[in-house]
Amino acid sequence: MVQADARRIHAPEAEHGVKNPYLIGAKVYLRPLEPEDAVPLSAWLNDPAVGEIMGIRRPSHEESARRFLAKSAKDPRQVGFGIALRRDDRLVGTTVLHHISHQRRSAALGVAVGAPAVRGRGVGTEAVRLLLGYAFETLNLNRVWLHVVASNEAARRVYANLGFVHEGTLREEAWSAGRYENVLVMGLLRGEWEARSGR
Amino acid sequence: MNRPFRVGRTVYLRSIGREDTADYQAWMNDVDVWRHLQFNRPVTREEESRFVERAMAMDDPAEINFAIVRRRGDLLLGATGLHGIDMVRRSAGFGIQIGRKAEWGKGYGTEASALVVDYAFRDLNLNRVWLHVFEFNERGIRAYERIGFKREAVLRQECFRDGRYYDVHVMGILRREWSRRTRAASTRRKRSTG
Ligand SMILES: CC(C)(COP(=O)(O)OP(=O)(O)OC[C@H]1O[C@@H](n2cnc3c(N)ncnc32)[C@H](O)[C@@H]1OP(=O)(O)O)[C@@H](O)C(=O)NCCC(=O)NCCS
Ligand SMILES: CC(C)(COP(=O)(O)OP(=O)(O)OC[C@H]1O[C@@H](n2cnc3c(N)ncnc32)[C@H](O)[C@@H]1OP(=O)(O)O)[C@@H](O)C(=O)NCCC(=O)NCCS
Repeated sequence: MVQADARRIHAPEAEHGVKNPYLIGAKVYLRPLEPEDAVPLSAWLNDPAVGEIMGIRRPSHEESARRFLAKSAKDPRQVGFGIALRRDDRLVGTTVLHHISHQRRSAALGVAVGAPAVRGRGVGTEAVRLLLGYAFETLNLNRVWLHVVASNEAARRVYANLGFVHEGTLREEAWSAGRYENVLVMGLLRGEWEARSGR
Repeated sequence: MNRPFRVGRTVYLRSIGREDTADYQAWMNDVDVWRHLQFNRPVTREEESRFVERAMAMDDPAEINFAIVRRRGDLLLGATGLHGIDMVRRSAGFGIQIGRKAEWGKGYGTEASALVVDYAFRDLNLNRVWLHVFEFNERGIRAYERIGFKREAVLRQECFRDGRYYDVHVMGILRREWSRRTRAASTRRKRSTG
């Protein structure tokens, strides 16, 4: 008894022995988001690079992040995942399909790799590739689209590498770091995805 | 005129009222109208009433709705408004439906849209107004181009109608483009009168 309690205090991670990998890649896997993920999420949301793209311009607290997760989980038009590293099961970001429409078989995609130290190592690319597989092959969607601020070179690169097509530019649709910025609309159709993944 | 809010030459905008519910419900169930909108379910009286009550309450800061009324005969034509109003980005989405089909193609949609865009820039201090329109809606696209909206993006296959996919056009207008147009128009007016 005493032993178990001690372990709980010193290694809170060990409590969540089951990590529930749902979609598994080479470096990362996507798993369901849990209430306790509000702790890292809240820290990421305080980074303007993440908070601004989600339209949140207020300081985040664990409690607001928890409510945000609970609300998202209840919305039938979204499916959100945590991005975890296979190496150590650490949660490093989130990725989500939102605005899912079954009538036009379309959804929007969002991704954030939270800790800046983890960016630029292929995590975002692999997470989005897993989510696209889910969108087209599991949900039977026809189109996945997204908005990206023109100056976000890393994100544009990830999407272009995965085959997204630049469909147009919304002039001055973003307000970022004290100025208006253009927003690119990018889209990927099922046929384009299948051609690339060799189906 | 009843509760006029912004008045044009042939139409005016006013707040939506309960008296509009029956017409709106009929129009939202008319396939010639809803095939141009991202709307795929029949609309019950209760659902339409909910929209009307929300519009009357005017308590959602992200949305403003108006009734469009023809001045001659004080005839209700449809509804228009702004949604997704974001006061940080100073951007809003625009929408319009003229449900009274006999009145299509007479310039009312163009004039009502111009009243809303003018309101967005001059009263709400917005910087950008955007809209989505299906590729086959030639009447709408023509009306928006006349006002000065520019095509910014083509969302491929974002619309499904009559058993196939269609593209959706995103059109946008910026405040500086609108003030340039209204300045040019008032110069023209002064020249012709002076
Ligand atoms: C955008 C984001 C998800 C990308 O994830 P990531 O794990 O860093 O991305 P990857 O390592 O898989 O790929 C990054 C790509 O951008 C390139 N890149 C990185 N920084 C860049 C820069 N400043 N300029 C140009 N290219 C850059 C990398 O070289 C790589 O391309 P490559 O594979 O062709 O070499 C991540 O940076 C992030 O979360 N940023 C903050 C939130 C955000 O912007 N989300 C997206 C909103 S649309
Ligand atoms: C779209 C709508 C608002 C336009 O309003 P309207 O009063 O009918 O349009 P207007 O008369 O002001 O302008 C229509 C323009 O299209 C032109 N036009 C009319 N019918 C046309 C057709 N079949 N093909 C191409 N152009 C056409 C007109 O000549 C006019 O252009 P002009 O001023 O250069 O002559 C209205 O028709 C409507 O509500 N339709 C149903 C719902 C809808 O489509 N809502 C908008 C969704 S984005």
